[in-house]
Amino acid sequence: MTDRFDEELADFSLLLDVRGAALFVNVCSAAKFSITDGSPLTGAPGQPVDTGALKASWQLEFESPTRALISTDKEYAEGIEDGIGPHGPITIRSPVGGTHSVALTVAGIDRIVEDETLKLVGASNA
Amino acid sequence: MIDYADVNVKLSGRLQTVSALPVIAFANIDEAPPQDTPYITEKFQPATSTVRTFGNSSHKVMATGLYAVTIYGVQGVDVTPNNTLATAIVTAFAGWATALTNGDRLRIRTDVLPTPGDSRNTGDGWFVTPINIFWEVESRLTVA
Repeated sequence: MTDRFDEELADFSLLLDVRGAALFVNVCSAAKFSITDGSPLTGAPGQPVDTGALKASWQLEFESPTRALISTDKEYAEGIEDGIGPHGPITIRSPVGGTHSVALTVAGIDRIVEDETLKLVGASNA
Repeated sequence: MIDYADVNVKLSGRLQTVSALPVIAFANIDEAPPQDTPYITEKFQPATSTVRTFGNSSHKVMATGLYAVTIYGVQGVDVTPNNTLATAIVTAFAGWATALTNGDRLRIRTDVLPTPGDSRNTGDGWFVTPINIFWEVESRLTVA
């Protein structure tokens, strides 16, 4: 009886680890998508597109099982994020995207986590 | 129904209570500020609107968004004026709440605090400090 309970507990612990890892990966992917393409969960508009270079430059790297980095190497990305150009405020003329996508994604990360958790639970219960 | 126009008015009004505030360059005015004269810009950006019904007999809508203020100081002088003004703006908004004209409650979010971003030179005479202020409004859901 005790051995069986221990085995079930170990299986459950393994299941939690697997789900936790999957949730982390999915949340990070959704956060990157919110920054690049926008998201109704966060209200982020996504990146404006002219040549597409800025949007394509965003990368998601997993530095460890519990740490990820979403970044871009474009120097003007910070200006697009804050709406600040070399001569003052900028006007986004792209028909898609806008400013402050990173800030809004950070502010709405709880909703991304909630949404991805529901997807994961729903998928595993199906 | 969220009255976004009133939310914007209330946030702008709060900003203008900050003492020694430079002139605001409003987005609808084509203005070329003279060099060596600090100014600020504001941007009102609604983000999300969610129906919150679980555990609540009277259906409500929770809206969130961003109020972004940018300080344009003069490049090449002490950073203190920008920092002092940024601190004053953050202090004015942190934890602040007020009633909208329709009775809804506008609150500055406390889970994501008002935060100054990285200050930097634009390369064209300005030393800028962006400030992000996150707000929320809970409103009764009305269906026309």
